[in-house]
Amino acid sequence: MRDCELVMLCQKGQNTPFSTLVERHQSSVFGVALQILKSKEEAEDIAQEAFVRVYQKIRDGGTIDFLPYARKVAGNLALDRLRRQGMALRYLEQQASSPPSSYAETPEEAAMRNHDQLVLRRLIDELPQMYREVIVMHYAGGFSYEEIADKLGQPLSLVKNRLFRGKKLLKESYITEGVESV
Amino acid sequence: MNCADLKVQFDAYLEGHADDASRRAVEEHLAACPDCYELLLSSDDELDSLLRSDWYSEAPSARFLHGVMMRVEKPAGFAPVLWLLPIWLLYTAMAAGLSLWIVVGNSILGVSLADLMSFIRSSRAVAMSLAQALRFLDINEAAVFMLFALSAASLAVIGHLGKEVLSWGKD
Repeated sequence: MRDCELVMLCQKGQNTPFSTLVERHQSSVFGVALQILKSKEEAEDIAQEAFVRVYQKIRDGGTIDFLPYARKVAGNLALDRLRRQGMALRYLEQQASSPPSSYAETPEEAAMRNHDQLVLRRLIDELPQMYREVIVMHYAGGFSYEEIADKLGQPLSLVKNRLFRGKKLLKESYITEGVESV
Repeated sequence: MNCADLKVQFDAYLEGHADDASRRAVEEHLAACPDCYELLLSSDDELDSLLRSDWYSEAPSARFLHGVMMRVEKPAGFAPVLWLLPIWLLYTAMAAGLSLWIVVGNSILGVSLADLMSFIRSSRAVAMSLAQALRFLDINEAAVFMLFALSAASLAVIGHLGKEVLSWGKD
């Protein structure tokens, strides 16, 4: 059954379809929060809260595209938590440590993940924070350039510039990685 | 600057060889021209499609789904009783109860507010527990009601003790 059909069943008062939706998309929504917060415990809390907000939205009769909406809610909540708890310093420190140890995968988990995605994730973790944050917000959180500029309090042109330069750095690292692994 | 000019100057810009005027012109054009910007961003198809995949996905713990469903299926609990109370009374009672606990802790046990704050700051685990407790209070009216009752009971006990102390002087 498709997401939109499950959402319609939720609007009629059923909880089981919502459980199916959470089970289907929990990795993506949790992953967005984890990329921003870098702590499994906090990311789980935020991702759960995001699903609760999505549930309330559905129950209020809102029409949503489930996964993009849930990802954006999780991204917003994670950024709000960072801001509220004044954890910017911790965030920056974590950017410097590579790879982040707080969510290191087990060998079994790593084996199941696509190799290219694993490399990409590590290279994104190694990017300078100003490039990393816009890439995570845009590609994982699904935020538009305008929304990122608004959230960071930066000009739109600067956000676009950082996104482009971040991708350029990623590409260069990716090429280097390929050469080294040969 | 138009789109054709941008393509000529863009390599110099990226390599950091562009002078200030050219750099500003490129940035102004990129900010104003979504087509050029999108074209440049998606010029690397392989990296772009990889970035648009779910590279960030990560499986949460096994209890995650259960936690979400618990939070969306919270019982009505004491909500009808709670809503009958004026909110200012609830917060005043909670603040009074907390203040009294701090005063009593300070005078009897020698624990100052600064010690308490220092302890909370020094322990991330405690901070997380507090955050979870606050979240629990936020979603569970029964817990708020119990805290209110506990605060009110504290006020009553301390008031009674104060009365007893005052009456000693009269005897």
